[in-house]
Amino acid sequence: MRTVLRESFRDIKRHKRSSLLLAIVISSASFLFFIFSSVIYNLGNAEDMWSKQIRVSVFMTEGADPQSLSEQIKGINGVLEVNHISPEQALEILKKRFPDEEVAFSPSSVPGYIEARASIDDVEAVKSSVLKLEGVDDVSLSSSWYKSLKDLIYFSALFSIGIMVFVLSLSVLLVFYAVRIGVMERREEIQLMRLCGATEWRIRSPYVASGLIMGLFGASVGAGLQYVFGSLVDRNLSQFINGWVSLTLSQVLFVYLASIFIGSFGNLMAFVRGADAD
Amino acid sequence: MIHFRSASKIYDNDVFALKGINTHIGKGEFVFVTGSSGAGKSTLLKMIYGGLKPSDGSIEVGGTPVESLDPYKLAILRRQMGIVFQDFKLLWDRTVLENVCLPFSVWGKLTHENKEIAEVMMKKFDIWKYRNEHPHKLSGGEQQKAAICRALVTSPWILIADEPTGNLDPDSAGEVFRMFYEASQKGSTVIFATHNEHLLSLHKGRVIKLDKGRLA
Repeated sequence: MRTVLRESFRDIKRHKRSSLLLAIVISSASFLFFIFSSVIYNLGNAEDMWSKQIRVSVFMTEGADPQSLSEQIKGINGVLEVNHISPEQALEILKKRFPDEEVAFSPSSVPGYIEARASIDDVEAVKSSVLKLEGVDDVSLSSSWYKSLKDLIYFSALFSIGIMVFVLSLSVLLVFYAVRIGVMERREEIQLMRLCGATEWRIRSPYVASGLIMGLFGASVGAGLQYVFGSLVDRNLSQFINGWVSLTLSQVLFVYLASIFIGSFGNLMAFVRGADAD
Repeated sequence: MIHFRSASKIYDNDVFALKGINTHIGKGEFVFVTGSSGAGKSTLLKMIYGGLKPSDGSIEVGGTPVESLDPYKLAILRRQMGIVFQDFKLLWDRTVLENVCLPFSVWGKLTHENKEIAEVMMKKFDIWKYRNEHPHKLSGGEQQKAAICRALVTSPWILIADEPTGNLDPDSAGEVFRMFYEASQKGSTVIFATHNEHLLSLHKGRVIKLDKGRLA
């Protein structure tokens, strides 16, 4: 093992330029992995969060008791939160939404209502239950924005996965060619090792080990970059998406495994294709 | 020890390199393989160490058909052999000592004891002083001595030499030949390909003469 590691480091030192190229490729790939996987991870979280925030606005008939109706709505299965919005609060909300049309609204023209929140899966059932209650005039749902958002998130995730697959394939390919050039340069040495009685594993193991070392190095650089980048981005994005996280343990583990795979697999493939002819 | 049983080799371009070779090389024998360029000397040697597979027939080394060995078993078999080439095949980015110790290194047995064996051998052939130099600083004869030390350092049963004196001046060629002769005295089977008539006259070994891929 010590010999293999020593040879791997010697190999990295001996082929400084291709090793540097490999380090840059794997670091960039792992950094891109971090960025896109955090996009997927956070959009998934955000979608989950927003799916529980579907607004159900309940308009009451004249003379209905908002407190009693609120209590009844709270008891409906699937309702997560209930708030009574008084006519004055409703007016304030309208003024905020339509600041230029302030003149058109007066306290007597804006009715109060009850605002409930439910998850996307329960919202239709909640609506029909609420409609059956005495004192309810109408119920409106604000779920269309969620459907558009869900589509957007879905396509963003799909795009991110596509980019990640592309980056992975490109990295393996770049590693493959960079190592293959090295293997071709050392073909005579490899053949000589075979003639001296080296087993195939003995010949290949330094390549696999140096791929592993480069993979670990690349993943560490990528994680470091993402840590710096993430600490800048987190502060800004967490204002818009609650609980935005740029670096998670599972991401780090995944990127380390992917980088090791890129390094070792690329190296091994290059070796098999480059040096198998005796 | 080594049996050629109707061994033939046809290359991809339908050229016969060897045709129907039947011969036997005994344990501890010193055998010259001679013949003009293209007679099939290198092909014959390559088939002994499994560098080429026969198109037909079989080559047995120690009772095992070499052509049927898987890569692992072939590697183990090659550990019983020392191979020397006309162009030395030294690694230019390693020191002379690292080159001589290469077999131990690739076997994962680069121990202090084995380094001492290399030291004794290099001192004997007067190249110890170059141990920390890279091969390009050595003369052709010295490079070939280093290559032979690499082949001998593991005390192989079989020593295969493919025109080892081809690039050397007569004095160096004589010295190199003596190295093989000593190895033979110690019990190694030596198969020495050459077309150097002077060397053939130095030692009364058996001669396998090849002509256009056939035993002459």
